[in-house]
Amino acid sequence: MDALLKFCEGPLFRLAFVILIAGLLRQAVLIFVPGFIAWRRARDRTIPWGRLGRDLGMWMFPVAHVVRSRQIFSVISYLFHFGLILVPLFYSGHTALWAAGTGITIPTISDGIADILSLITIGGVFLLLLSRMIHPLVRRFVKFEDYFVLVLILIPFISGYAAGRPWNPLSYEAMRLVHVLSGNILLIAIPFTKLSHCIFFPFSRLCAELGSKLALDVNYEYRAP
Amino acid sequence: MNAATEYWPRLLKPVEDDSLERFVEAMGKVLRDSNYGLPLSVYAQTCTGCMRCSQQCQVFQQSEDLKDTPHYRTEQIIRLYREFFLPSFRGISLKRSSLDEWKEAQADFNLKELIESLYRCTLCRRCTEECPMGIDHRLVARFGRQVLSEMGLVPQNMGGSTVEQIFGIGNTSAFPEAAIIDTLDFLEEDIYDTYGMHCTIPRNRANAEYLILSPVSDYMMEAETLMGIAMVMHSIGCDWTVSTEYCDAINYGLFYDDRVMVTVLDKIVAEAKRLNVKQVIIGECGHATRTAIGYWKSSLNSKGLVVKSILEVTAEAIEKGLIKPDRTKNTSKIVLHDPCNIVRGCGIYKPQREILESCAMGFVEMQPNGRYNYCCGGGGGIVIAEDLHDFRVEVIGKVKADQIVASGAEIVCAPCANCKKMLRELVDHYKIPAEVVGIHDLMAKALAVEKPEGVQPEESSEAA
Repeated sequence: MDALLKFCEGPLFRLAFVILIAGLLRQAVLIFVPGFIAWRRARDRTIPWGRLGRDLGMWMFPVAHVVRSRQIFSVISYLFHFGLILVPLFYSGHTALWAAGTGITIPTISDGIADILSLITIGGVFLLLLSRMIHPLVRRFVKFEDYFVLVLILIPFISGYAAGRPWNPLSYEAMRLVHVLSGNILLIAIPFTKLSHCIFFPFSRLCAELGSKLALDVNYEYRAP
Repeated sequence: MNAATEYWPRLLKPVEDDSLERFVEAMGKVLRDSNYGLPLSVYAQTCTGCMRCSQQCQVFQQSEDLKDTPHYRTEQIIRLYREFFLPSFRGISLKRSSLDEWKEAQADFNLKELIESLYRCTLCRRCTEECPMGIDHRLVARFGRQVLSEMGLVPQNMGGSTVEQIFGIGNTSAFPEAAIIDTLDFLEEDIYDTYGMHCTIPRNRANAEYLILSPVSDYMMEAETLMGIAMVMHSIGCDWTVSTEYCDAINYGLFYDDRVMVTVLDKIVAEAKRLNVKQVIIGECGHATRTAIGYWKSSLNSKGLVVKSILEVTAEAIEKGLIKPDRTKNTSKIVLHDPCNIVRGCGIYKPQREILESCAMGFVEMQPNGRYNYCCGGGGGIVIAEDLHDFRVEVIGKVKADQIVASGAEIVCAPCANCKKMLRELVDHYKIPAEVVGIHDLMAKALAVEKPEGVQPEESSEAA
């Protein structure tokens, strides 16, 4: 058990992390190269950076947007992302592993805050699952992948939260193994599923802008239908 | 899917059984000749299905037909794109099925429904404002319509008007040049009779500073707006002109085909070059403003020519004190409708408000307004399709009618010819006691002067 845990936290984690970074880089290249080509062939090469940045900023801090539609869902999903991003990066157990493995020290959040954030994220996953099942409009279009990614997120969060608790049904090591393994799977899955919106999100507006540009190398002369 | 399925714009050609093959083939051609592939490839992996877009769609809010959701449209197009065009290194799956295999596996895919859905969208872009991921559903809808146009499937009204504009007389209403000259003569007299201003409308004057291009409907149904614009330009005292040879700013290309859009823009630029003007001013028209301002540089000869909206010009003149409208001439309660293409499309939000503040007393806002405003109901070419009248009035425009009633205004003001036509239909249908006008109609009243006693109107010396 101990050796297996060491393997999962060491080499397997490194592999998962490399796949994550390489996968995200690949996605970035797949935006930037076609994006650059689209920009090169555009008749109008001006890009409204100000408007794009403003729109992006308004969705990063969507105070005005959240209240406009699907209020409960919006608040839940917004809070859910806090825990999802902050806990894996800044929880003291994780930063200690980073320090041990690479020598890089990262600021940590207190365990109490990490617990609260984790609970919010776990609760958020359940509520998002519920919303996908019961919302009259969402459930008509929901796909297997939408549930799948939520479960992928749920397992490492629950196992991580449960590992050190007295009510943990498994042993600490076993739960920790579940946590590390599922965490590694989640990292690997990010670039290949809709979770890759973490890298697409800042660029989708730019892509829409470039996509609406007309091409220089095309003759647009209209012939009657 | 409910009974609303009966609404279907008449297309120039019927949709045949082998259409999916032709649709996919046309998709390939459009993707090669445009940049649409980039956003589609990103959207294929971005949408999380939160449905905020659909909840904000005014067509869906009223019709409750799943086909009307922006998500449905985007999803169906992306399904085809992902299967047949997404570069294989993009996704995980490397397998690509043939069209027949795909049709069998995806039995729920219905091209006819997709086509109908594409033409039930008003292209208002409200859904895009709502998308946390920034997915531009209007872009996808325009892509779909472009593919249909490539197949030859074009709504009759738009296709016919465009042919008249590009290959025929030179405007979408087939209004001959002699009639335009007559109208301008009549308008000059009417301005004097109604507003007491000796205002000449210069025609085809070479080397002028400004060329005013209004939608052709301003020469027919919305003459008050053109009169207001003439009075503003005259009062500013600038060197301006209208063209009688090519006078139409309408550009339906934005709604269904980029080639039409560029061809019409090229015509506008050619006319500006022929008259050697410095600036082109687009009159009160939503999609004309959007195409001209948003795609001006896409017309390759446009270098050195400035394009502006008349709203910006008038607001600037008011700010500089070049014209002094009299607010007290418009005392009714006026509500402003924000055309989607002007506010969301071009980001022109303040000028129309500055104009209204300066020329009217009782200006109130619609709720919601600005970039979150609802479409009048006739966007995306729906207003010119006669067979969609019931659909646009009873379904799409319902929320707009409610907004007008809630504002309690006696006058609804919209700086867009399409919106005005649609709003009039709404006011008639729902029996709302309100009048529909353009912004410059009010400006004309506010600029009216006392008619000097005993002076007869002079004949225009500027006639071409």
